[in-house]
Amino acid sequence: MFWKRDHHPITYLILLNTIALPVALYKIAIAPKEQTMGIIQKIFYLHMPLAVLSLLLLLGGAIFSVAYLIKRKNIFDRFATLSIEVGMLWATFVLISGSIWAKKAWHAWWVWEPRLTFVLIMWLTFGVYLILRRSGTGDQTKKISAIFALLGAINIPLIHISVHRLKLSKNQKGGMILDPQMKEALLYSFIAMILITTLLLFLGNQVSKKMAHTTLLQEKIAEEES
Amino acid sequence: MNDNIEMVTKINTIEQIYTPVTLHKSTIQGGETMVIVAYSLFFLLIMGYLLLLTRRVVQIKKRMNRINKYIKHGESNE
Repeated sequence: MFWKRDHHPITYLILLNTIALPVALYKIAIAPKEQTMGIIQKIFYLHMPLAVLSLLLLLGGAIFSVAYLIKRKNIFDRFATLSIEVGMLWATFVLISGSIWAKKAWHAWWVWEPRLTFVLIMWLTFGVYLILRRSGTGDQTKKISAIFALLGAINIPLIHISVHRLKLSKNQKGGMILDPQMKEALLYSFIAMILITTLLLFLGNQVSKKMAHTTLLQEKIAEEES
Repeated sequence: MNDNIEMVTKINTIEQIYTPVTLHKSTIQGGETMVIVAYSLFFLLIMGYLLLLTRRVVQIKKRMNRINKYIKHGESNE
């Protein structure tokens, strides 16, 4: 049987995901409609966990970038790229799903308010990071990319301040009372999103490790040939 | 006595105004399509990332083939 032959964590993660995601979707489906938002509030069950995870991943990427700038070890650069890739995937979803929500709730696809503006700037900066990082494998490229990751990470505390301190954001925290079924759906969604993120990080790590290995071998061959 | 009557009247008025709104009505109607679009987008993004990883795996295999050919070529020359 496959579970006796293969004890790789990815196998367990795939199994956990195949259970957690349908359960979370079922809980979201049976959760009651919110009184003022109606059905559009169901986007919140994916939007909120993925927003938190994207910020954590992008912050993690920036921390690995700092570690790379200090230690100059390739493993930190690899972890930074991986973390930012998955973080950007979720940030893209958060931006688009937020826009869909805003269209229904605020009657506009986009509102230039502090939080959304900082999120967009952060997304663009990390986007530049990914483009730069894919453009080459040299130390200079890695160094400049790491600086861009730091620039992007500056926005993370600004997003937090814009919501909790400035009180300018329409997207303010607090005041929302959730039904127990809604809380349950949110909890299950959080667990499912954490599991999917872990799976993507594990898969991405396997691939990027092999990619780095073959790049190194290719460089050695090129050196020998020259 | 008069004060008590006034209080009851005020409370009744507040209940009449707020009860129907808070218990039964949604202010935003519809949006099912948008919810479906958002959830589809989530799965599309995951599929997109998995496709990207698959593309990289193919790239790694191509590279490994080239490296193996180089090693075999070197061995045959020796």
